[in-house]
Amino acid sequence: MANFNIDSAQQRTYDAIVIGSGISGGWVAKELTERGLKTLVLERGRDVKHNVDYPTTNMMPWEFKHRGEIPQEIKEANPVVSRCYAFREDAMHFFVKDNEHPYIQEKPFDWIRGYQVGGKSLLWARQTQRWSDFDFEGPARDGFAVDWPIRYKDIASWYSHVEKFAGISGDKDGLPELPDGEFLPAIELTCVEKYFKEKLKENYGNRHLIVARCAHITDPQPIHIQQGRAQCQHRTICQRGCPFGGYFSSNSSTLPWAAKTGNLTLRPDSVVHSILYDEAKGKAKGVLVIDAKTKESVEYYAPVIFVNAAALNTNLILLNSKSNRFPNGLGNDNGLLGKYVAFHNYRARINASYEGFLDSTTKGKRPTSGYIPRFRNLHKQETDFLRGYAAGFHSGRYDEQGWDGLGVELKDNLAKTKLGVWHVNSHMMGETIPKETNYVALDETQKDEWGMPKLKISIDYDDNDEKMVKDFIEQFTEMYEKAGFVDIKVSDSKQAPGLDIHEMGGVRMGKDPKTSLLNEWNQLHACKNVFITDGACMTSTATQNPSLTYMALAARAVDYVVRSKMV
Amino acid sequence: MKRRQMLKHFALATTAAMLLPSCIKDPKKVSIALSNLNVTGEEEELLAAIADTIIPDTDKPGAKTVGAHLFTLVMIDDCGNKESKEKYMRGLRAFDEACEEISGKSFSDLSVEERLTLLKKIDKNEVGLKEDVVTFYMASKQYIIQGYTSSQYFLTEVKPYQLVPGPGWKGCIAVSETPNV
Ligand SMILES: Cc1cc2nc3c(=O)[nH]c(=O)nc-3n(C[C@H](O)[C@H](O)[C@H](O)COP(=O)(O)OP(=O)(O)OC[C@H]3O[C@@H](n4cnc5c(N)ncnc54)[C@H](O)[C@@H]3O)c2cc1C
Ligand code: SF4
Repeated sequence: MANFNIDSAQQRTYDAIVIGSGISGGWVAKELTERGLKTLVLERGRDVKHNVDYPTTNMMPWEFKHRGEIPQEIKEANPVVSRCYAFREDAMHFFVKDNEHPYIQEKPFDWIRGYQVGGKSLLWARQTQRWSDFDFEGPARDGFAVDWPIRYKDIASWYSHVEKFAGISGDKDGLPELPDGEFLPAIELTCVEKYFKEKLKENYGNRHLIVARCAHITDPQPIHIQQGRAQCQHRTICQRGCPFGGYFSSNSSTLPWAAKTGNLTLRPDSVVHSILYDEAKGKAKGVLVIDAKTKESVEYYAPVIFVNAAALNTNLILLNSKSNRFPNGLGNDNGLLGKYVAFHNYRARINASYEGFLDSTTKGKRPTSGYIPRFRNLHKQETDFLRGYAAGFHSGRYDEQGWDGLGVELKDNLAKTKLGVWHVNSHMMGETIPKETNYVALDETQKDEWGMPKLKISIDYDDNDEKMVKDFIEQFTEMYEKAGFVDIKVSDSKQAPGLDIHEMGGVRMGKDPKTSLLNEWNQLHACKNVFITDGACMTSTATQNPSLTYMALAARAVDYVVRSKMV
Repeated sequence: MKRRQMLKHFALATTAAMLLPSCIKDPKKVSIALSNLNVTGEEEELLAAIADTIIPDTDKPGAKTVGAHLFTLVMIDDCGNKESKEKYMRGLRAFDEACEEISGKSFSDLSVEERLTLLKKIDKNEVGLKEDVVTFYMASKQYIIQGYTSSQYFLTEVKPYQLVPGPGWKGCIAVSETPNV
């Protein structure tokens, strides 16, 4: 590796360094730069500028050579990413292809990644539910992992802070298990969803169907207009990048906001290899970057470093940051770095039909759906498995005009619309229990093109997950039957962990340095000027889509840095 | 629809699908660039005739005019696996022979009505055909319909696609208030 010595060390010194420009890194950058700190964001992927680099955003369906389908050759070369529902012709350029960045699966794990400015924030499904104390108190109550060092009251105002800026639509539902936030108007449920909501209340009392809260601007506020973002136009092709900035992404929101302060330096094509430790001062001093294109190495320095490379890559960077003080990876005095990784169990689905409301239908498209918060084991343990699941719930009527006839008859039929009955479908989002045996580690021998050890992933389901899949299927079958849904079909995809794209942990927060890596401010216990505010910090997973919590933790940690005058 | 307009639709469908017309008008060669399939100009014409029978031109363009047969070749070429491609090609090559066995003529020599009658028989599985031929026909029909219903013509004039529907989502409205039903 050649030494890149053109700039003086002085010029390569900032107030803070952020590794990764995705959902969480974008938030760190916004908060730091707003507080006047000169911030360097290092991103391993290419630059993706809002509206400039969305090549497919305005394409019509017929302009896609394969009408959305991924060609066989690409599928065969990339079996992992091809299993992701959003890996389609219109957005495949925002996904990492398997062979570009290989990793080692000790057990099957579908690692879905987006390496570019904005990370996976361009691709996400924009579901944003708050955690409650039923979640933060989970490990302590049920005796797994370690106790979270924070509670809902510590993060509530940060949820609000994030929601107001990002633009979250939803209803105030008044449910303690899914606290209300700062919401823009909700996107209405369908007739059948409203009906099911009533049936659940009637039959169970404590099972609720609500509008899933989502990061879409339904009523732009001055803060959104200042970002150059407008009302969501319900295109529902968000994964291509949205010209209106209707949904939240780093590219449309936090990064341009940070740039406007004049305090942001964004360096794409910068693979962070490791964090450099100053043995004399007893803290981190900077990072070693490998230029993604030239492979030249260069060091950058700052008194504070945030790692936001997305959960597993954050583990990789820390494990690879070896020094005399930390021979097993930065901050890893207890040997737990990379361990207690967990995810969400998305295996089971249940579909059915409903023959009511035949005189009603929906109009237009919507970028969200219904949501059923966790009801299992909520107030007390009531099943033979720990924790529970939330569920997405969606209903609609579709054009079922068949392909009857041939010739002119077929042509006429295709021009007609024949609405089918209502279809309903639901999928589980189960909490999994973090375990020492679910871990990631560095491979001893294999390195990638940039000289980084390949990541070895060893993560699996357990008996608790199997029981939960079974329970979801049983409970939802009963809930569906009681609502009069017919033609019920259940399935267990047995999909590998990872495809939920909610992998978390490995650098967990906790009270005790002996059993955790981070303290209540997301600060490494053993190296206080390094902060981890992405999914790697998660002590447990709850059932909610996690990114909103990463954002809130990120903003909260930056506030701590500024308040405690670390810079 | 005027012929000129139909030609315009065809041209658009072709460029939009990024199909490259070959420069030299060699009647033996397929008119688009394919990576794997070895299709001749005659075979392309046969598929076009099948498309034109399944969804014919009337006063409005049909499947052949919007290029649905070319879309079919692209999809088989790029999105099928090796086995399904081979099967499709065997079926394509055996189609005319099967046609002659049933009706005494090759597909291109049949009148428009005879073509329709023949395809209806194949469609209803009334004639004992080799598996490859049935596979070829069913795959072609599926892609021809898909190509037609996702063509620019169909999605602008028959069932218009809205790229930007606007925020007027309604979760529950009377069916009578929706178009087309
Ligand atoms: C299809 C899909 C649907 C999803 N739906 C939802 C949802 O509805 N709700 C929800 O909450 N979450 C959802 N997610 C998950 C969500 O996208 C992630 O939780 C979120 O993006 C994580 O944020 P992050 O900042 O940790 O990582 P990312 O957004 O992935 O950003 C990490 C960045 O770090 C960069 N990086 C990695 N390694 C290095 C390195 N060594 N040096 C420099 N840079 C590096 C990457 O290139 C990337 O840009 C979804 C994801 C996908 C793909
Ligand atoms: S649904 Fe909204 S945010 Fe998504 S692409 Fe459409 S307008 Fe943009």
